[in-house]
Amino acid sequence: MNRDVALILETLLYVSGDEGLEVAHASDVLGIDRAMVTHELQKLASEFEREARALVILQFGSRFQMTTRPAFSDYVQAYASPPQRGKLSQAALETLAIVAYQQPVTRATIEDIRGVNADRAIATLAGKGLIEEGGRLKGAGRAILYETTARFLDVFHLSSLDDLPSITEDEEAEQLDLFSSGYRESWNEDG
Amino acid sequence: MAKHVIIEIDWDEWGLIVLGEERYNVKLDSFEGPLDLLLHLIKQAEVDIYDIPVAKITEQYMTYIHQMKELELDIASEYLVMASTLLAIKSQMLLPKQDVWADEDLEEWEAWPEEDPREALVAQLEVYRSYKQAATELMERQAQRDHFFSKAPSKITPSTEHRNESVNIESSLSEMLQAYQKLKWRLRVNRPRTTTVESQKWTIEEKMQSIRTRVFQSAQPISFLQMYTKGEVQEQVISFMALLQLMKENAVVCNQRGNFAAIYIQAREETNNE
Repeated sequence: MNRDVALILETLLYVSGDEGLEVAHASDVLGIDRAMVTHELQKLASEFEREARALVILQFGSRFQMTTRPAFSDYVQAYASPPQRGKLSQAALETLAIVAYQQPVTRATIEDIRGVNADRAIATLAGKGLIEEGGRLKGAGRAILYETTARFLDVFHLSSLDDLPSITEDEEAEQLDLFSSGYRESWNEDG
Repeated sequence: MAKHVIIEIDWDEWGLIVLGEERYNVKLDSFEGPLDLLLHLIKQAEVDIYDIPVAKITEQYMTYIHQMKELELDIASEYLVMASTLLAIKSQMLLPKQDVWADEDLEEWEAWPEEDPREALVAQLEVYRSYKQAATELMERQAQRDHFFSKAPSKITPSTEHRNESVNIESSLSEMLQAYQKLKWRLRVNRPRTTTVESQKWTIEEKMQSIRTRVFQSAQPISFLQMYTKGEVQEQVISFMALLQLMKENAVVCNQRGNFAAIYIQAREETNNE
């Protein structure tokens, strides 16, 4: 039975392609709980790794995806010349980095950090499905709080947000200092 | 003072505009706001971010603002706010400093060393710089991701039973945008990317010449079907076009007795006028 689960998951991974297999969806199909599905998928991924198969299984949050092995990407490119993904502008990337590390975050905070208006960058990122509205700030104005999406993890090859490259400790401490609520309040009062 | 500034625009390695005509070493536009510009100036001056020579940097910053004005670029308010911040810091630093430690009459709480007026700005620059760095790393990760390929989902209708979200028809604008992006991406992926371009083996001119030669040498009408419909499709097409051209030039005459009958090519009298 256990072996069957792995085989079924592998089948579903194949079928779902680059949409990825959502753990919740697979859990419904197999009638086993999500934690179990996640565990099985991770096991399958390390099995693929151990056996050095042609395909690898990547995790993006609660989504798993079957892809080719990067070691052979030259051959894929020689064979199929896949289209380039559109590159994000510097403004969009900086904004995305701030959302990724600070989430959930308001537009005002992003603008404080970058020193420029962030409307367009936010619209671009939301349009590309990399960030989304993750609720509203309590209090006056009920500012939108932005978060990164599962697609963000996929596009930037991160299995989870913990995978984000760390910004060095000093900077992190300073950032905490700067953006502790007390600071932000006084900043807002000034402005 | 209206100056004729732009004659030609160069792009430097940063993708920034460099004024060619006036040889200003000022890069315009393309900065991601005043902090980005400041970081650039600091880097260019090769100084420590914690010890910014404010007077010098402010001067360069103002030069930049003036350039924007001359080029009639839209000077965003953010740039002007930063300009005034810099000027404020500069004037604050010019004020004589009280040596608080030497003054023993002061109460303890007053005897605190003066804050460096640059402090807030430096902190802001530092944070901005770390996110700029993070942005670069994200970009690198994105490039790595491009080496993993996956296929499009198999063409089977997902079972709605297990997909609660597909029952829900209401979609937000951002969901629609995402769907559209996905569709665009998919279309790009599906579009065939390679095509075979072969060099031309036959030209119409050559074929015209060979038909002409054959026709003029032969006393009998020549069957087009027999002579020119052999070989590759491309060759046949070229032959046919050559024949049409010869007809147009009145070099040959073609006869056909009825539908689908053989076509005979004949030389026209006294037409060798090339």
